[in-house]
Amino acid sequence: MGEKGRISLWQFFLLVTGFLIGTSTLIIPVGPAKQDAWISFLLAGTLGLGAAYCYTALGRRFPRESPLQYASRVLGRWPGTCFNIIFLWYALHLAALVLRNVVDLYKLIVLPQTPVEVVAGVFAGLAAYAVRLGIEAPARLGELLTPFIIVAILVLTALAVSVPGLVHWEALFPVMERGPLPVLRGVYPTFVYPFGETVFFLVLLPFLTEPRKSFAPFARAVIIVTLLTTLVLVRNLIVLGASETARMNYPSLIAIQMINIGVFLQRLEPVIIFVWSFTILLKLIVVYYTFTLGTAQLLGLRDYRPLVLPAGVLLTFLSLSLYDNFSQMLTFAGRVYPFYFLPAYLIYPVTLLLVAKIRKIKG
Amino acid sequence: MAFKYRSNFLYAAFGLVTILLAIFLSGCWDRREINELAFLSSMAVDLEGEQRLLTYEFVRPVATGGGEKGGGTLNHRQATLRSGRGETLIDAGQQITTGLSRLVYLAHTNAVLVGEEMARRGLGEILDFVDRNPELRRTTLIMVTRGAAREVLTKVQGDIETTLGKEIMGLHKWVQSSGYGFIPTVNDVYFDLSSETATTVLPVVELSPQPFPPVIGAGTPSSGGGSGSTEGRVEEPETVRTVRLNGAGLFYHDKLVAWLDADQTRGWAWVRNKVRRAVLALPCQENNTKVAVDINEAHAEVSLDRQGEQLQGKIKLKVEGILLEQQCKLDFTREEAVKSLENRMAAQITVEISSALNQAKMAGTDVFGFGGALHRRYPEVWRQLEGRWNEEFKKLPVTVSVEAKLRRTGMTGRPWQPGAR
Repeated sequence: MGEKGRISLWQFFLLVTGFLIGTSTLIIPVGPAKQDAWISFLLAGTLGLGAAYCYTALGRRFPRESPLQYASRVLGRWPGTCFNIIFLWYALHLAALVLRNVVDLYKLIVLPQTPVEVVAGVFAGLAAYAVRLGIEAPARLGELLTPFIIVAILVLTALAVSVPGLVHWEALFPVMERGPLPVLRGVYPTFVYPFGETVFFLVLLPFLTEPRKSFAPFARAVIIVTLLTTLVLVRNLIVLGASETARMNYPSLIAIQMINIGVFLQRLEPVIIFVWSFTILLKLIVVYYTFTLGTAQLLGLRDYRPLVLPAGVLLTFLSLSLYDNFSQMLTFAGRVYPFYFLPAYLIYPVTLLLVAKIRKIKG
Repeated sequence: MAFKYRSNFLYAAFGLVTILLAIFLSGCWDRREINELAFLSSMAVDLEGEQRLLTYEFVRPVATGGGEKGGGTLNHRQATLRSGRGETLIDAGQQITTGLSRLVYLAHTNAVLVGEEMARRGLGEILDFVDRNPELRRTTLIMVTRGAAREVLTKVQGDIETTLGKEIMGLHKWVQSSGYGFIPTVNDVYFDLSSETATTVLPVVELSPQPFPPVIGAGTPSSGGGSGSTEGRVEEPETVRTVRLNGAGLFYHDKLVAWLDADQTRGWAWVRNKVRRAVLALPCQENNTKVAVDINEAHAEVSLDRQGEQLQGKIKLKVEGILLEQQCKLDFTREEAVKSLENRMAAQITVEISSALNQAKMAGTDVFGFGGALHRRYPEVWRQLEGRWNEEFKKLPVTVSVEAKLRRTGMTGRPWQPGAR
């Protein structure tokens, strides 16, 4: 479908890593688990491995096809098309949400006077350019920058922990004072976001050089991001305290603002703004790409590129009209989203996998 | 050939678009020129009836390089003050902007001074003001004043740093070397106030007049007489008002409820591990003479035990010091002398801690973190007492045990003896 590029397993690993870091170090829900939120996240990461296994199992079954292509064969023409349309809607919606995340960040902290349309337009334009170039361009971008991102997050965390008098390890205790229930309640939302969102890599799996070996890099990315985000979460908890971490809109940013070593190593937040700008862009590119390529496959077009620009305009305006204010965003992200997203990350792939197994359909 | 021509055209179009983008996407909306900004260095917040009185201290821009030599002006405070009144802090801030030729830039604010009346009303709105504003940072230092904060901010002269904000930054860095206090950041205060005990301690900053050497050729009118030659003029030292920390305020929730004096502040600081260095002056058992010990290691642990229904607080402190000054002739190379001095070190620190403890108990502010220790050790007991912990704390028996070590005796051993040969 106009995509002749191939990405290596290493590039795929870094792409998934960048995607997962994406917004998750920006906004990490603390939820009911309070100071045990990091345990919730570790458990969610374990579930994320399960999701990765499920998605790559589909990929192994249909190594050179995207779900948009085999869904009709597996489920029948009309049910398959319905499933595909729903799946694409979620891709469009997630792309708009991701774009909105970065726009909100820029509007509040980096460019308060600049119109949001300009910020959104610049990010969407960059993403559109990358999507138009095909999957190899974002893969190389991920290869180039994701290692730096990981190092930057580790260094910033190490610096925050080494500021004298800043960290309070006691903020992590008592562990599970109200039993395991609050921790378990925190697992589900942190699983859907960000791990459930990796479902869109289903569309990318056929472009791997060795699609049958996709599980190992996928799982490695999930493990690394789980550990990295848990580390970031623990850092935020010991620097800010559980209730403050939960109350703040960008706890990581504030925790990094607190870095002050010998009065010269301070004001490091541009580093983390860069990290987020890049990882969110990468995530946007992946989901945007999924949406355009998927639409082209659904409609049976020979080339997806004519769809890039219209899709970009669509998602830009959708992102700006997603919600009116921050409280709507909080309600949506906290209460609605984990269940709203269910069809995309669970029903779609699991139905496809089960029906394909029962009907013994292979790619 | 036609293909080549087409590709050249594409390059040209691409170049043009790039240049246009560079022009239009350079962030014109958020452009800030340094010479159009007024950098806020510190601010004072006071309550006047129901109005908030906000006083801003800006860095006054100076032409650097080739300034007047010997005028002494560069050592003086280079600050511009503005104040505004309003229903809320940002409202008062807005009033200031109506009389300012530059854009107020808050990102480099070093310190917030909170007046006594405001502190009794509650820090909440000030903390929120700092926290919510994307330009202000949680690294901003915060302290209280006795009386109006504006008094301190407007009257201080200072002779080392150019703004009060800078002075306070320096104090923050070095005050722990005396042990007499600690200047917290807004983040520290938020952390304390949202922890179990919901209490915090803010240092008191006050004016302190100090002598200032007379400037040559600029004698005061009373001493100088006529202008003209500087010869034969007697110049008296002038007085310069500087700031210093003296004691601290105890906060329950976000309200000021009691004061600690300087020694009590150090007593509190011992327990919360805020003392990096401290000097103890101790009697030497010989007609009113003293020895001074420099403490350079201190580590405290706060814990809570439960025997049956009875809770028992424990403060354990380990300090290590070095003998730095001796007025008497006692020989501290002898083990017994060292042991007895160590006991006196421990006793004096215990007195400081107990004094702070009593004051905190009287105010019902658990600034030592017993509540947190209880929560971590016995979560179920904590949940019962949570709501009335400040009352429980007043009744909590606490044992203070200090283990003091005198490790070294400085560069010499035995005291000097006249005519020892």
